[in-house]
Order: sequence, then C-alpha cells, then structure tokens
Amino acid sequence: MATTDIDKLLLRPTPFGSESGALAVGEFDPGNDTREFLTETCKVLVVGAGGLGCEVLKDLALSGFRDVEVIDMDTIDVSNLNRQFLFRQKDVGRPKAEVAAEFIRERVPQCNVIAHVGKVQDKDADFYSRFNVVCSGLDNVEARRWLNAMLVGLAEVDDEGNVIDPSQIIPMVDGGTEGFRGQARVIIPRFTSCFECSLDSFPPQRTYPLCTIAETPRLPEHCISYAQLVEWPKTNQRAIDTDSPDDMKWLFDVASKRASKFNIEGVTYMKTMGVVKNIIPAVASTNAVVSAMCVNEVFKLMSLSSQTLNTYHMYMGSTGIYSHTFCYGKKNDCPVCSSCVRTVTCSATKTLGELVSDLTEEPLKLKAPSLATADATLYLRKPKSLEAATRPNLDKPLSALVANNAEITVTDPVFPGDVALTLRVCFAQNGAA
Amino acid sequence: MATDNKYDRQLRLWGAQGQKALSEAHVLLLGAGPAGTETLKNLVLPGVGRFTVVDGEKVEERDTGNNFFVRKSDVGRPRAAATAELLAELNPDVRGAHRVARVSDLVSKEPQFIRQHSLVVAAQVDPQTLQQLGELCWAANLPLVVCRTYGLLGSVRLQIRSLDIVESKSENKLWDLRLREPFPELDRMTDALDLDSLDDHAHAHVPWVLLLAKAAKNWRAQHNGASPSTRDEKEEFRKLIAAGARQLASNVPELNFEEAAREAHRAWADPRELPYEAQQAFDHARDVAKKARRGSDASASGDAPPSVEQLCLRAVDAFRTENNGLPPLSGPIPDMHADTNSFVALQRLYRDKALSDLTAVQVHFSTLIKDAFSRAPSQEDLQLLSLVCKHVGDVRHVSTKSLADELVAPNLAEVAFEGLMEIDEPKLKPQAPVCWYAGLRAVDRFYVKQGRYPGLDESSLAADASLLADELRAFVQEAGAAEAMNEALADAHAQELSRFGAAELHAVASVVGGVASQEAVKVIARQYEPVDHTYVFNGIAGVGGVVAV
Ligand SMILES: [Zn+2]
Repeated sequence: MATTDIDKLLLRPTPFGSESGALAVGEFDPGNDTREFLTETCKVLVVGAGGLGCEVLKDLALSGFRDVEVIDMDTIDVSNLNRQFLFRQKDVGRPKAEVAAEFIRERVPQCNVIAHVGKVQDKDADFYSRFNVVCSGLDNVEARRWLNAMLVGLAEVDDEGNVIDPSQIIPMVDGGTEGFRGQARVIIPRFTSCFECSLDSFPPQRTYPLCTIAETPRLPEHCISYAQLVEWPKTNQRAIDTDSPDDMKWLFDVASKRASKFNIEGVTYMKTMGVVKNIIPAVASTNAVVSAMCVNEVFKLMSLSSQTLNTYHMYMGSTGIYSHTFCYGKKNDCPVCSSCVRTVTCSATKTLGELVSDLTEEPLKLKAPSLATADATLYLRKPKSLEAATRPNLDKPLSALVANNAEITVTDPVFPGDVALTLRVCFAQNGAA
Repeated sequence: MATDNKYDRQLRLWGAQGQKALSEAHVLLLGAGPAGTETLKNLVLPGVGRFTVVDGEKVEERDTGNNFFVRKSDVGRPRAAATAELLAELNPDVRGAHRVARVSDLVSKEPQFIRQHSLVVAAQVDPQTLQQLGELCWAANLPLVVCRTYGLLGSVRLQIRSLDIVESKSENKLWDLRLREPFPELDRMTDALDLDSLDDHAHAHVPWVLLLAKAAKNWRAQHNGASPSTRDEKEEFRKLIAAGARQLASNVPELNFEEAAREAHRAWADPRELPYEAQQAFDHARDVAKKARRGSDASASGDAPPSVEQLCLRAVDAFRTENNGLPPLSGPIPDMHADTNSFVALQRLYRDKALSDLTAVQVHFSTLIKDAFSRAPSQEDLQLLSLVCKHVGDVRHVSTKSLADELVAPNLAEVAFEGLMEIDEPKLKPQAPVCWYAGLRAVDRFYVKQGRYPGLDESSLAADASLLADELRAFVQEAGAAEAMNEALADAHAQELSRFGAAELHAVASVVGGVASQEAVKVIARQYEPVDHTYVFNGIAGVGGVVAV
C-alpha cells in the first residue's frame, strides 16, 4: 500500500522503468525490497556543501535516503547566505559540511548525515568504495577531475574491458551552475562518458594579455589585474589573501590610482573582487533547479523506478528557458576511462623537460606529472630526495633516456595515485617537432 | 571574508536596480505544498521585500516527508502558519505573513486581497480555481506564476498580460557605433586621423572603430554616399581594410587592422533598425498611447494610467521622430586593441554624445510625465529613462497567452517537440515535454469530471488509467495535435499518470520551485526575458522544454 508520495514510485509498476530508457541500468522491481534498499541500505556521498550541496542534502533527505555523508573543506562566508540556506549569519566561519549536516539532522530527523571536513583528495579508495552513488556539486574543475578519476578507477576492468566487480561501478551525478545557467549529468564509470571526456568544454579562466595590462590599459579590469599581478609582488613578500578585506582594499586603491592616471573609469571595490577572485555569479534558483535534477537522477538510479538521464542536461534560464538533453559521447583516447596508449611522436633530441611541459598543456592539462618506464624512474616529484636525483634528467634528450617506442607511465596529482596513463614515445625520422 | 554584502553574487546578475525592485515586491503564495514553499524559499533568500502565504490545510505526517518547511512538531498546525514561520527565518531582511484560508474561497470571495500584491504564485491549485484566478490576474494585469508537480512531472506557467522589460540582457551584445551615419563629433575625429603620418607603433594602435569610420567615409565618397550593400561590395570593403595594414619590421601583424576586418559589418549596420522584439515594444507603447487618447476622447475610459516604462519608450519614440528615425546613441563601446589615450578619447566621444541625446529625450519625457501624472520626473524615473536609452535594442514587451485562452482553445498543431536533440531516437519521442503537457491536461479533465485525481488508490489504478487514456485522446484531438505527437502518445502515458497518483515528489517540486522563482525574479526586476507560456519538466527522462499551447 502506497502511503507516502515516494511510495507511489517505489511500489507501483510502470511502463517507464529503468530498463525502458535510452540508458538502461537495471530492471525495476516494484515493492518493499526496493523501498528497503533505498531507505535502509543505500549509502550516498554528497561532495560539496555549498550552493548545490545544501540543496542536494535537502532533496536527498526528502527523497527517502537516510544514510548520507557529505564532504567539504570550506568555511561559511557572508556571501554564501543568499543561496546556501542551511547557514545563518551566526554560522559564518564554521565548516560548511558540519553546519549543513547538523541542520538536516535537526529538520529531517530520520535522515542521518555524517560530515567530513576536508578535501576530496584527502580520502582514499576505501572511503569512496563504500558508497552506492556519489552526487557532486563542486565549484572547481580540479576536484571534479580527481573525483571522477577515483570513481572510474574503482570500476577496474579486465583485459577484455569488462568491469571485474560490478558492485564497484559507483555512478556519479554531477551538477554545475553559473548565473542563470547550469548542467546536470550522469556518469556511469566505464559505460558513459566521464568528466575527463568533457574537459574541453570548460573554458580556461579569463585572463588579459600582460602587455595590455602593462602598456595599454583601457578597462578597469586591466588596472585591477595590474595591481594584482605587477604591483602586489613588488610591494609584498606574501601571496594575496583574497578573503582579507585589507588585501582587497590595497588592490582596490592601487587599481584606482592607476585608473585615474590613465583616465579610465569604473574601478569599484565590487569589480576588484570579481576580477581578483574570479567570482562567478550565483543565485538560489539555478542551484535549486540543477541540484534537484541531480537528486532526481540519484533517486531513479538507486530505485530503478524510472529512466535515467542519458547523459547530459543543459539548462539556460536568462532568455526564456532553454534546455537541452543529449548523450555526451565518450572520448576514445580519454586518459581516465579508456585504456588506450597515447602515442607521442617527437624528435629524439627533445628533452624530457620539454615533454613534461607539453603534458601540462592542451589536451591533457596535467598539473605536475611524474614519469617512469617499467625499469627506470625518469622524473619523480616526490619524495624530495628522488626529485633532486631525477631532476638532471629534465635537460637530457629523450633518446638518452628511453628507447624508440618505449612506454612511459605518467602519474599526476590531478588524478588519484593509482590512476596512470601510458605514453608511447616514437622518435620522428628527421627533425619533426 | 572580503565583502559584508550577502547579496554580492546575485548583484552581479541583476545589479542594484534589480535588487531594489525585488526588495519592494510583495509576493503572494497560494498553496503551501512543496512546490510553493520551494518557490518562496528562492525568493526569500535573495531578499524579496514581503511575502504572504495562504493555505487552508493542516500539517499532516505526509508533509514532513516532502516539504522542507514543516517539522514533525508542526503536525496538526495550520500549514500556512508553519511554513511562513520557517520561510521567514531564512532571511531577516524579509517580512513574512500568512493567512489560514482555503485558496478556492479566497479567490472567489476576496479578489481585492489578491490584487494588493505585486506577483502571485499559485502552487497545486485545482483547475477550476486556477481558471478564476487566471481571469482575476489578467484583468488586474497582475503577473501570475503557476506551479505544478505531478509524480515525475513538473510545470511552470507564466501569465502576463503586459510587461515592459528594460534590460533583456540578450547574449549577443549590440554595439551602437553609428559608422554608417557618423554624428558630427565622430566625423571630426575621423577627419583628424591621418594614418600615413603615424609612426608604426601609433599606426598599430588606432582603434578599429576609427579605422572603419575612415574607410567607410572614403567608400561613401566614391559611391555617391552609399555604403557597401552587395556581397561583392562588402567583400571588397573588407579587403580594402586589410590592405591598409603595414608590414612592420617586427613581422607582427597589426591586430587593430585584423579586428577592423573582422568587424567590417558594423560599417554598414543601420542604426535605425532595432531588433524585431525591441521594435515591437516601441510599437506596443505607441498603440497603448493611441488607444488611451481615443479613450479619453470618448471620455471616462476605465484604463489604468500608463507605466513609467511605457512613457520612457514613448519619449524615445518622440526623439526618433525628431531625428529622422535615429534612436538616442547608446554610449558604451567594446574593448579593442588600442593605446590608452585613443581608446579613452573615443570612449568619451561616444559617452558625451549619448549624454546629449539623453538630455534631448528627457525633454519629451518630462512633458509625458507631466501629462500623465501632473508632476516632474523623479530621480528614479530619470534613472529608468537613462537605462532605456542605454539599452534601446534591449527593451522587450512581454505578453503571454491568457490561461483562459489556453483552457478554452488549446492549439497543439504548431507545437514542436522541444528539448530533445535526438528526438529521432524512438525511445525518447514519447518523452517529449509536449506529450506530458497533454498528459497533465488529461489529468485536469479527469479531475473536473471525477472530483478527484486518478490513481489515489491501488484498487483503481487500472480503471483510472483507462479513463485517463480516453481523456488524453479526446484532448489531443480537440487541440489538433500534429501527427508525430499522436504517434508518440500511447496508453503507457495514461498508465504512468495513474501510477503517479498525484504524488508530490520533493525533487520535482524543487525543480519547479527553482524555475518558478527564477521567472518571478525576472518579472519583478524587469530584466532578462521571462518564459513565454509553459516550461515542462519531464523527470522520467531528464528532459525539459517550453510548450506554448
Ligand atoms: Zn573519460
């Protein structure tokens, strides 16, 4: 007998169960077992307790989930209060994960939320493998790349590419917003495209050419960037603390002076903050839409009571409402979810250091790669002693270090420790780049 | 913390102007279920001025399972009181109130109470009450946002009779540069520019606006005053621009000439031609004025006084009549490769001209304000006028179909499958939002006939599905649905609607509340473009789309 609203979904048969959809993940079995799994067994991890995370926690608690954990490293700031509704003025300065978990436990007592204060990268594979599903609402690409690689890595495949232990396929439902636009997507490791497959769709942070900033400033943004990138390091020994009103005021004053020297108008404190902190506008409404779409997918994935989003929903709310659902394709040579070996063709005289710097740019955008072959370390970042020992290799030509067609294993802090990609180095015949 | 303004992140979207409008609004919520309270939550957080919750129910156990703004301890209390209390607690800047009353009673007995508010949100209101409410709001030109959740389906319907939007903030930025018909000051600056006399550094830093102005003037001199118009001419013009670049010793190409060639189309852009939607807004304001004049001739017209927005549009219109169709100059120019001094000088030139145009528009505006309200324009009025003049191409007039028309004469013939790229994928066709719009209409027909929603009981699931299937067929036939839609609709839709049994799922209510609050903010701030008609969220396949029936 269906007594609550979600019971109608969990206990009654439907022509549109998971198995009927474009991305079928299992066969729906309406009844008490399904309900019991959702409420008693299913463990959900929420990554991020900010604008999206607060909404996600509320939506999960009111969708029948009772075993929820949340991880976030941030503390509460005043500028969070226009949308992060689990926080009040009195909570400013406290860890977001803790306050959010307390609030949910208080308002929806049947839902138990455990808080983890810290970085996504602080937790290991054992931690993540305990969950049935992960719902992420992060504001930075780096943490999402790492989390994605962790979850894809958990779904280990055999030589034929089949997942060895299906219980380790942990779906990741990811949301993101910017102003009136946002997206919700479903990632099923090894089955759908992963976050890394779509890395190209995240544009790099907006920057201004240094020569414009220094020589021909025209906009208030140019003056602010000058204060930040040129004047600050000249006068100060330490890095800018973008959360310090004193530092921001200093930048604002310096930028204002420069602007008045060049007759440029429009340097304001608000604009200074926007440029220096790369602030992305955020509103309650978009966060609500995207988070709820994500939790709706979590609910359906865990109960199989309806179809699954295949795989990407884009939402734009500024000019009317425009939304678009499409299947984000897998990238054949994705360094995370494909097991393909990338071939790098280069001159035999190219140095190891040059190769390392190539890896940090498009398309791989690694952060601090370490390289090794099956029988030798080429360049390692850690520990310090090994870094020092392998550093001289950076200046050596590749031909002095590896044979033609050798396979090099690359690891990088953007991915968890045991996720590596393989490069095959082919020396070009004569002098190609 | 580097700011003490908790609204910082949203001010970057709608500015102080939008925030002020929001803080002066009084929103009425009819129906305190999850879709209603979620909508209000997203208005209280960003700082709406006041809200009033109207609801006639008592909090039940069921509410604690899907509504975040009731607690276990509230069971038995009036739902209006419990939710208003927890909503108000979200933001100390907001004043909240509630009334314990049945929504249907209020709508039929106290229209004057409803009319006191600046916007009405109706959540989970039954079809008959909604029809009455729609008529009441239409007559009072009161914006109405209708929220609905039904199982995995949600919808948000906006009804607006007439609203002028000052800043639609369309994504493609229009720059009003007047290169085709330069104003005298720009013409003088162009004449003063002698490219040949410049050293290489200066030559590579002349703003492209001036390069284009110069080239366009030369072109007109050689073509009897005409601008490039054919494809060939435009191509030739572009080549002429590129050919003006110098081969520098450094071998670095001149960026300003590259930019000029790329922006060449601006040299023949007609400043009289406004975007279609903007022109419509001006035409509408003129029509209203005409009608009002006729009305006053016939004496005692009961019409409301014109809005200040409309008077702004009419003042601009008068300016255009006086200036051979040219609108007041907008002012801002885009960033471009240039040295600081020439860029700042150019920026000033455009701004000064914009200010002098604005002064001329103000003369008309003062007369219009005096005629309408027998007073001088306030500081606020003038601010609005300056916004209108700055964004002439960005004004919009919004008017949706009325709920009454949608109910009486639905038309599905023209409605496309929206929101799906791979609509050819057979599994997705039945999931098109328009199919589920039809499904929800079938549910309403069922409700009107049976006095209850389908699928409330396990025992009637199959029988209700079959009745619903009849209603669905009848509805799409009456609405003249396209063949593709008839093919996509199946008995499965009716079975699914019966299975939902009027369930209100929190996640779906939260999607609806997000969309509804977004539309309310746009309407209150008079910024961006509100949705025309109905947004449908299909939570089965994760698909959304706008349906205008
Ligand atoms: Zn991938």
